[in-house]
Amino acid sequence: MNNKSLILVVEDDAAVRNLMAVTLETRGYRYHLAQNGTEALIEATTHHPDVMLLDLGLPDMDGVEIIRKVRSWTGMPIIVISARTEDTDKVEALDAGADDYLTKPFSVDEMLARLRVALRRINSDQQSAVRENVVYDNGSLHIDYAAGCAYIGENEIHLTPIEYKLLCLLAKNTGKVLTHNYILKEVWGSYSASEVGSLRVFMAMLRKKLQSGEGAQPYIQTHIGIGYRMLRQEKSPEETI
Amino acid sequence: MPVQSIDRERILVCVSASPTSSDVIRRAAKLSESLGAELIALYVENSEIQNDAQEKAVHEHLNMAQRLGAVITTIYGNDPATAIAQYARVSGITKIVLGKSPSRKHAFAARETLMSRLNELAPDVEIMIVPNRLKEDTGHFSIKRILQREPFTAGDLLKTSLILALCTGVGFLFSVIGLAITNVVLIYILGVMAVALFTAGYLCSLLSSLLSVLIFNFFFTEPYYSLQSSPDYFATFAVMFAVALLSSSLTSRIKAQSIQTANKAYQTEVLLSTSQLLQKAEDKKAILKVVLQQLCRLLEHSVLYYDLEDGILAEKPVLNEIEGDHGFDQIDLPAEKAAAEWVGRNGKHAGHSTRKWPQSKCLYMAIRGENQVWAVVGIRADNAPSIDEYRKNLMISILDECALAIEKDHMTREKQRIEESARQEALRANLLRAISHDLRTPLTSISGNAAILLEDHGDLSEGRKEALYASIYDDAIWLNGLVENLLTITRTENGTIKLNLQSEMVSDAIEEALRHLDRNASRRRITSELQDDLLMARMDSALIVQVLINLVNNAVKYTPENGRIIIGAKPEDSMVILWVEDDGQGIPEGDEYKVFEMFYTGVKRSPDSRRGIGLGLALCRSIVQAHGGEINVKNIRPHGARFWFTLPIAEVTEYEQ
Repeated sequence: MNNKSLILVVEDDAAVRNLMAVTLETRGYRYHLAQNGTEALIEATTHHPDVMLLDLGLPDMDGVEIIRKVRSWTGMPIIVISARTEDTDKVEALDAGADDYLTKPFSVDEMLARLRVALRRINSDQQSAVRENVVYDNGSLHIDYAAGCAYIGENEIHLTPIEYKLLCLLAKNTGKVLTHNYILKEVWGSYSASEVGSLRVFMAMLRKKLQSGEGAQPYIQTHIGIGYRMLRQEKSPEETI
Repeated sequence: MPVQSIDRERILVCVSASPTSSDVIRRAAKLSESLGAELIALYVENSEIQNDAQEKAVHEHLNMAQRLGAVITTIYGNDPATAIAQYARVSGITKIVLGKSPSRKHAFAARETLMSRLNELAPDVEIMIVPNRLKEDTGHFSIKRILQREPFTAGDLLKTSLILALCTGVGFLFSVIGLAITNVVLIYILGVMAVALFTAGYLCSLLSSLLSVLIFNFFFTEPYYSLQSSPDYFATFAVMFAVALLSSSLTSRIKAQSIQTANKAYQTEVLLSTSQLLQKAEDKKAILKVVLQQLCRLLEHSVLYYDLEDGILAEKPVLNEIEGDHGFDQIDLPAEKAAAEWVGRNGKHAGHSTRKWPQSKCLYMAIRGENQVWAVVGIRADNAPSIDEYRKNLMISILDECALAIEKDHMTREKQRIEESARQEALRANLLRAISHDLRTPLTSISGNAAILLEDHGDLSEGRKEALYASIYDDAIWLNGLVENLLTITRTENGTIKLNLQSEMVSDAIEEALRHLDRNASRRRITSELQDDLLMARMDSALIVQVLINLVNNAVKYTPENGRIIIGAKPEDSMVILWVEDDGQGIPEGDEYKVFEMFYTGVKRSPDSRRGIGLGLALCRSIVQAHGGEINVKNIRPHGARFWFTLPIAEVTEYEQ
């Protein structure tokens, strides 16, 4: 793990900013601080951070707007932090291109865990670029895109066409929280409220099939009211790249 | 009728068709002005038939009274004295002004009788007589006047002659058989009574009485076929005439009374059904709808109303039309709205047949409460049947009753609103008190512990420090839970929660809840019992997760360390039932219903033990009820409590491409 990663912290509250700065420092990360949206955009363009931690309630700019602007030139992971437990804010931010979210109050451990997930995504992106999206490996989960098959360890898992499509979508966005809306649009091509229920059923079936194999690692994480995420599992010992 | 203050004088002036009536009204108005009294113009309508000229005169007088500031009232009664006295008693009249010679005088009721009877019937009321300055022609009994007053139709005359002819025929039959002549007299008296019964007015009765005596004289007394007769019969004729006249007048009166009784019964029926319907009406709109229907039924005219809110007339009227030509189709209602607006402002009548906007096709009347107009009713009045005073009077009664009903409804609502806001206020005060206490305790502990740690210069042992850190952390987490519940309460406005309902996996909700438990929860054995992984329910996930968190945290709170907590769900008919079970002490006997009340906090272990403010379970109940489910608790064996709640199940039709 490259702990020399550069983190951009955008937070207007001094106490929380300080807490985050201290945490990052003790864990050996490099960081830059920004107090508002304008500063955030300047920092992001000048220092090219690896990950951005973005508070949604900034005094000068709407958080979602910042995400859109940043996304116009870079795919760096953005983790949004929202104070209220309103799901709609998070969904909006995720749909705008954020990767993950944290709800205040969050524990320091939680923040660091999300950060690790985001950094791992950068690493795997760089690796998978080499393999040209032919295969996908995550822990003991293996997808052969060319053959259209998925395996847990050595065993093929039998998936329906929709389940397979869902799995591929999640795999291609490993580490990223995908909203219901996004998944429906990508897999079904449309969004209608009645299909959200079906999505839940397909996801539940898929999760069951993935976890039935030996090892039983939880691949798909449910974010109730928001969406789903494929988690990057620790690599199996035999895999070495 | 609005209730009046007692100190103010109320003067009643009796209106009639007599030409002197206008003078009486003017004087009464002057009197009321000088006394600062309220003036009421009363017209007593009775079964006596009126001609058009009289009706017009009454109308003019009433209009004049209204111009002079009088409140117009029409009542119905055959005996003016009783009717006036009754009205005076009921509406707190202090003075009655009468003309010296009431014109609408009954043949058997002299004016002294009216005055003295009024004196007798309403002894508390001062009666004032206005001297008569006009030469009275009404006092004289004349055929011309009778002819003027009595409708005299050819049909009635035909009936009279037929009946008398029949009597004569029967009389001849009797005399042929050889029955005594007295029987024939009785036959004629019977005939006169029949005439009185079948014809209108007194004229035919009078005529038949006279004729029967003459015919009897002509045909049945010696010498026959001549009007001459022996003096023996004069007494017979006189008695016969008197009996015939009396019985005919009695019959007429019975007839008039039966009509009046029928009218009264109809009036009672209409008013009773109106008040019954009004009682059932739930709000102002429903009340007005009832009134429209009743008026339409009564008058057989199309009716409408304009609602009046804060003195502003509604944009469009609500109509209740009679099909065909009697509807509002041809009437330019917007053009007539000015009349309705005037009525709304002044609370008086306007429109058709009044002085204000007489060209209107509708008559506009106010539904007037104690100090405000609630609505304006319009009646299409330009077409037949015309609205007689009797119906108009009934209509006013209905409108008054409607005003009372609206006023009552308004007051009830106002009272409810005040009670509700008082309740909310009390709740808010309670909540604030409870919150400030419950916030202060952990805050004291957090700031105190932090202060100790800040001022520590290496004196504290590691273990000690660890405990202080943990305490700060726990208190902060506890505070967050409280804030979370408070935020949800702010989402509940007026007791209704806005839900974002989705079909969610029950297992997802349980999983999410287990991720957000108190730190203390890790010292309990929490297991989940889910029979169907694919069980789905309609829920607002954030709120249901909060319900589960509250229930599990509650279970943690009331179980000893290492206690067992089971969280489970299963389908049951069209619902999903979820439960949280613990093996603690259970709920005290009889408290099962109270636990969901706000500020219930269970058994206090020690005076200053901090156990929350009893918001959590009350909130759970609100949330579950908003979902259309129910929540309850029961004790389980050997010990412990099981909280359960239901949610509507979500059926998903699984489909593949």
